[in-house]
Amino acid sequence: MSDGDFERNETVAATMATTREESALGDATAVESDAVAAAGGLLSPEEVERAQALIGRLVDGLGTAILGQQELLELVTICLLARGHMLLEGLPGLGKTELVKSLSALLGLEFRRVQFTPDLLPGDIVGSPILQETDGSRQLVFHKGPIFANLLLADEINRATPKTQSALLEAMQERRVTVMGETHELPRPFFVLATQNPIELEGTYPLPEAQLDRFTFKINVYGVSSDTLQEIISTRRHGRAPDLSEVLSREELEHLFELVEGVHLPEAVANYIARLVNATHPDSADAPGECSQFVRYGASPRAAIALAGTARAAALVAGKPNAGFDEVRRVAVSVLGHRLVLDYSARLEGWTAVRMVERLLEAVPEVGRPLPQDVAVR
Amino acid sequence: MTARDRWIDRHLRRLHLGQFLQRAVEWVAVYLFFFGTTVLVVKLMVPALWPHVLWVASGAVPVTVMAWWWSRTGRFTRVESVALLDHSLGAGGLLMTLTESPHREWEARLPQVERRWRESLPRIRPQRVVGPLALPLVFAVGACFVPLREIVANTTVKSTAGQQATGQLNDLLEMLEEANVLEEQEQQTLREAIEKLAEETERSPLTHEKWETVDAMEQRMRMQLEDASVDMAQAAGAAAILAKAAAGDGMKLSAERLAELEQDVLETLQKMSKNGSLSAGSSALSSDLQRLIKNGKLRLPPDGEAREQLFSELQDFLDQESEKLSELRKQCKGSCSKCGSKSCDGECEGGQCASCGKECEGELCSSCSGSRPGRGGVTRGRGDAEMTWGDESDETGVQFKETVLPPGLQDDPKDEVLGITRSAPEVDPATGVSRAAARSIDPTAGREAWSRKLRPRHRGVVRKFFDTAANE
Repeated sequence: MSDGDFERNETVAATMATTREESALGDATAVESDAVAAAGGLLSPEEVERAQALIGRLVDGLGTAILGQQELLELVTICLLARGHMLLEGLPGLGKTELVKSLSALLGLEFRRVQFTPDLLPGDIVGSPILQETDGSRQLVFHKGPIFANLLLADEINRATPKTQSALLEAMQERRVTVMGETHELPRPFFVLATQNPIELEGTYPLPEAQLDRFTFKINVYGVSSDTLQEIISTRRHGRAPDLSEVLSREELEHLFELVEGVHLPEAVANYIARLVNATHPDSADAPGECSQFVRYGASPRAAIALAGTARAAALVAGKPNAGFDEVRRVAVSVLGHRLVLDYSARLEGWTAVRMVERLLEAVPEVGRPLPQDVAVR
Repeated sequence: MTARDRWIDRHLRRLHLGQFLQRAVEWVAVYLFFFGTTVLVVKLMVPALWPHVLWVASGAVPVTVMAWWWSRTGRFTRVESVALLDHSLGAGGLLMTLTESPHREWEARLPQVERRWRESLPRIRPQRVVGPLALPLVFAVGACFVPLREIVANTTVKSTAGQQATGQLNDLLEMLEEANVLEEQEQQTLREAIEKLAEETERSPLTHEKWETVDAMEQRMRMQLEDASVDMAQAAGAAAILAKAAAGDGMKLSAERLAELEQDVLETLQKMSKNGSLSAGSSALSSDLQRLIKNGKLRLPPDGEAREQLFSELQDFLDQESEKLSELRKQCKGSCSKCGSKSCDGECEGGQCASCGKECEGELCSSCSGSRPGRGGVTRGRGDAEMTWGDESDETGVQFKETVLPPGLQDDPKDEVLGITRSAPEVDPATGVSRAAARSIDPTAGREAWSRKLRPRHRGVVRKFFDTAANE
């Protein structure tokens, strides 16, 4: 590893640490979770078990609405627990919108849905000031848009113009919106769950890299097996999903957020994340040959932070007090897949971003130092 | 320190050992190549340093220490070691977490069976160490068994063998000078050649070419001595015959025979005069002899009595000189390695050496057989053929110059010597072979077949063959 790479890793690791501090300053929940971590150091087995039970209720609830997509449901849960935004990509009719609607029903959070169209304006999302007569005088009163909800479903997000898409930038990162110089905080928690259709290229506006980078996960939704399809046909009349009731209260969700913050990220795992993200850069010494050849731009430090956060959430879902290498590998494709900008030659060679991340996971060792030749480990 | 920490320490130590072994193998392999190369260079180019060069092998110790020091620079950290151990145990990161943030309840979730911890320790694989070392080791050991190159250029040899050989040549030359065997010009030539040879052997080793030169010079001086001895014996014999003839002791010689004998005596005296050996006799005799050979002719007194006395004195003088030369010949032969006597010529008769009288193993004693040609020892040629060494060219790289050799059937000069006795041989002088003619065969004259010399024992047969009626 070169000095430059080492410094870059150090920077990424430092950013991951300071982000936690920043969130602690601006987020009461983070403060509490830090207190939990500081008091006990590690989550107790009882806490983890209780969290697993809560998460289990949520996943089971989603499972009743979305059949045969257990991995997808767990990834959605992980992203939710990491307080990340999610982009679902898949063909129409695979249940993307249904998934988001089910999630809102199960969590009991305020849910809004915006169908993105080319003529949609930013004001249609964030809200706009309206001249209103009050007590005999007229004044501009800000009318909140649909973004002021806990759960925003941005359906077919790539059909809106870049101008409208950019209205989400501040909201997704800062969790607030500014209209006419006036900043409005968004309710907590705030999630954007967007869907996009890959085959409708006509009249679509691909999301810019800055927008994509704000999505913690991008999950590809695939079709289900024939057995699952048969079950769907049998149980769903007219495609109507079963009525779902709230399984997780807001407080319980907040508590889960605290517990995720308390999940320990060992130093070696943080180093692995840093090296993994660093290896996505084509000029890095750690980058495998294919990455150097086909990747134009690698992942940002925000990706490293997202990787660490989702790995923590994945650990809690798995019932562990700490994130390990397995959790990092589990979420790496969803976190890094949409953040790599590939060269045009990659398409010619049949390389996709997901395949590139899988290659990176093969190439980057868990420990950054090669074992001596005369030593064998299990 | 908890049991967990102890296992981690063991794991870390194993990793460090593996790193050290890997580094040591690399360094020692390079060092073995260096050692083998050094040994090869010494054995092939500087053999004098063998076996001191083996001390270089002790450099393996500092190399190993350096490998250990160097392996410390890129050592596995404890965090990395814990990560590897965690992976081996399948702890899913719990071990890493507990080393950073201990928790009693989670501690119980770690594997408790000691066997699992032991199995998770890294294994050192010796075959991976031996493999890369095998080739350099074979090379280094093989280099030690490469035979030493023979020392050609050696100061000791140069200062002993060369000088010893030239010293022997000098001794021989001095003896010949003392006996007045060599002419002055010949002496000068030989001395210069010996000095030149001695000078060269000081600067450079005694090569086989120089050995041949030494042998050729020695042979040449011996031949000179032999010739002088033979001439002296011939002259003494001739003087004896002439003395008898002058005394009229019933011996009547033809004029031609007398002339031949006188010519022999004259030639010998002239040579002696040239060499200066004539002045070695009594002053009266030498002045008489100087007068006798004046103007290149033998001036004999007319009186028969005076002539008889002169020949008698001359015979005594020549006999003395002949004896001196015979003694000198024996001295020049060298000493017998067995008896140490210079008079021993290596002849064996029965179970004893003829001269030294010691026991022999068979026909010839082993120490003496080497001095005889064709008997299995160190000889100078096949069978009885002596090798004649001529003057060697001092020009290197010159083209070979053809020299016409005399015909091969020339009589051996030794046969001539055997025919000379104090009494006259019992052959007809008219049909006898002219010794002077035999000595002076001119290969360029042609018609040798017509004047081919015959051995005395063949003459009767040849005469009988041609003594036919047709010839008559």
